[in-house]
Amino acid sequence: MNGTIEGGWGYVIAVYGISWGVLLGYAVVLLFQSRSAPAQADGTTHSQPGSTT
Amino acid sequence: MTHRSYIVGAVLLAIGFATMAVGHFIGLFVAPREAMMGDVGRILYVHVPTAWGALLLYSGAFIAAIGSMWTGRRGWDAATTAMVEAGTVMTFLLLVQGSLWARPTWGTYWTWDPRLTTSAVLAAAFGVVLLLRRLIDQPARRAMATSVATIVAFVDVPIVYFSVKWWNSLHQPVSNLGSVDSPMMQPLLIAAIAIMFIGAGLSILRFRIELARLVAEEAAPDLPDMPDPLHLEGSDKPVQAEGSPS
Repeated sequence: MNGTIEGGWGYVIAVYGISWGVLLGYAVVLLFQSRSAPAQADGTTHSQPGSTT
Repeated sequence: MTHRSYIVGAVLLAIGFATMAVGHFIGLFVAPREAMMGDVGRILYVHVPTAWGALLLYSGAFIAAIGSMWTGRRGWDAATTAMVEAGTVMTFLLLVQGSLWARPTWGTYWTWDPRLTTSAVLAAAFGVVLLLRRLIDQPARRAMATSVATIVAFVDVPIVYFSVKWWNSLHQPVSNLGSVDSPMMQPLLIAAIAIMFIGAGLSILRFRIELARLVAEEAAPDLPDMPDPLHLEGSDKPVQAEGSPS
C-alpha cells in the first residue's frame, strides 16, 4: 500500500463523457441556431426610450 | 457581421474539438499515472482547461461589458452576453467535474472549501446576469444592467483564482509549469489550447444569435396593449338596470 488511489476509471469516464457531451451538445445547438441568424451590422447603438429610431 | 463569422465559429470549434481529442487521448492513455491519485488524476486534463476557459471567457465578458457601457453599441452587449453564457456553461461543467473528482480523492462530492465555494458563487453570479437579461425588456436599460452585473460578478474571478493561495484549501494549488510534471504538462497544454478554440467558437456563434435577436427586437413594431378582460368594449358604460334609458 503506497497511498495511491486504485481504480477510479468510472469517475474518469464519467467526467470525460459529461464534458464532451455538454460541450458538443452546446456547440451543435449554437451551430443550428446561428445558421439561421441573418447577417447583421454590429455598430448600431441601442435605441433609447422615446427615441424615433 | 457577415455569414463569414458562422464559418469562422464552426472552424474554430472543429479545430478545438480535434485538438481536445488529441490532448485527452494523450492524457488518458499515454501520460503517466499521478503519484497520489493514480488514474483518477487524469481528470486534470479536462478539469483544469475547463477552469482556464471559463475564467478567460469571463475576462472577455468583463472587457465587452466595459465596451458596452462606454459606447452603448449593441455589438458589445451581444458579445458580453455570448461570453457570459459560454463561461457559465463551462463553470457549471467545472463544478460537476470537480464534484466527481472530489468523491474518490476527498471522500465527498462537495465541501465548503474556499475554492469550491467561490467557484459556486461565480456560477451563481453569472447565472444571475443571464437571468437579469430575461427580466428587462427595454434594450438600453437591459444592456446597462447586463454590463454592471457582469462587472460586479467579475470581481469573483481573481478571488477564485487566488483562493487556494489566500486560504487553507483542500483543493490542489494552481496548476502551472512549477506544480505539474512535464510529461503531464503536454496533454494539459494541448487540452488548454483546445478549450480556447472551443470557447472562441462558442462565443462567436452565440454572438451571432444574440446580435440577430437584438436587431430583430428593435426592428419589430411595438405590440398593441392587450385589452383588459374586465374592460371589454362597452364595459365602460355606467351600470344600468335592465330597461332603463341609456
